Amino acid sequence: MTTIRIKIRSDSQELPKLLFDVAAPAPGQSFGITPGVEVVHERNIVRHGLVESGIIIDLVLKIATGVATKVVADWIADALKARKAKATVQINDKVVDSQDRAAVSSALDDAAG
Amino acid sequence: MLPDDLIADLIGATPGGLRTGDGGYLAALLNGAPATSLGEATGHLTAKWKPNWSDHARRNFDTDDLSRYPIVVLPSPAFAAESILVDGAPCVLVHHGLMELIGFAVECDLLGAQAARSLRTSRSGARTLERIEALTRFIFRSHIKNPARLPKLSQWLSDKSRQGWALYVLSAEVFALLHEIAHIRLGHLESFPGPFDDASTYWQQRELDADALAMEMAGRGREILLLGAWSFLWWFSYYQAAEKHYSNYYPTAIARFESLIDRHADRYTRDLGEELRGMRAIAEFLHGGGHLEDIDQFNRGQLGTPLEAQQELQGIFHMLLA
Repeated sequence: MTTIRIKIRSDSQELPKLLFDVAAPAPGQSFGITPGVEVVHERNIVRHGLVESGIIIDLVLKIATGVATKVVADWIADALKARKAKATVQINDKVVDSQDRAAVSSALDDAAG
Repeated sequence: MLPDDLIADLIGATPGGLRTGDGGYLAALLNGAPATSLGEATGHLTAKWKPNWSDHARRNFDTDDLSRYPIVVLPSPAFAAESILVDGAPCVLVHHGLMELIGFAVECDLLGAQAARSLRTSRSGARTLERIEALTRFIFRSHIKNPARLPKLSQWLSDKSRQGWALYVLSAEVFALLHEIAHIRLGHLESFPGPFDDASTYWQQRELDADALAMEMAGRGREILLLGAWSFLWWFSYYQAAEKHYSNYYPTAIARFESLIDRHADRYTRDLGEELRGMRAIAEFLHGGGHLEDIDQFNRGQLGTPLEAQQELQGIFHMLLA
């Protein structure tokens, strides 16, 4: 089992709904994405202001050994694609576009070591 | 108290913040004071500012609204406040740059007024006043990324101006805070329809509505709050022109001020003509590219470096007001 922290930033407040089908997930709430991939929602922050507006979600990914990180990249990209929500995924210090599946997968591979 | 990693997130995303901009801001801000974490630095700043705001709001606006919501001062240079929800819980954030920039700007406004009284109406006096205004704008603009290094000019303030400074600055800051609390009360953080550029009019109307509710929250003290709004929006208009990437989905500062006047015109006893004329003057200045002229003057070296401009401004105040 590999554990990776990720952060997703979006200009759409619907982000939790798009990812989890829940508008207001609780801290620590866990979601099974596909067999072998579990996501724990740690925190979400809605920002409304001059400097920045949007939502930031902190997640912990738990990926079973042998499961390709591409599954996670596809989950994020597919969830956001329908509403054309702009979003970035931060994995450690690397920030990539949520629709760039290859880049998300590669960053996850790097984080998994 | 917000956790360190959350503060880092909030500051890191700020233009000019710790991660993306001038990494020396926090050091300059704390000026050697011991702070071992972002949370501690944030705690220092919040403890310093929040009691003044709460006291000012209670005395002048007869409201405890500022005590009903958590308010946090972030060690960030932005001239901004914002409202956030952390897992659904509301909080108001004030970026420290707001206090530094508005404090300096109001100080210069009041010193300029003192200087005007000593200069009377001679032609050379008018030129000196124009020079003071140009230097003030230039110094304000050149410190937007690091306002903790703005010069402190309070030594030349008269006792009367000192009282005026506290009233204007605290009212400007409380206006920004009540505006953010208004966003929370109006449910603006719960209904967030999507990207800004898709519905700019919608976003702009929300800002005007938050301003209007902020005024309502000030009760019988709304005329004092309007003075704060005026101070804030005057300088915000200049900031907005300098930081153009914010301006697309935000109403202009003058649009906000005029909206406040329009909505409350019949309730004010004070003659606001002078304030509106001032706002229109700076709007015309910005629309006419006056700030670009300032930058051009800077590029041609006519205002010198920011340090030289500071020295010149201090020299003028010393000569006229010491």
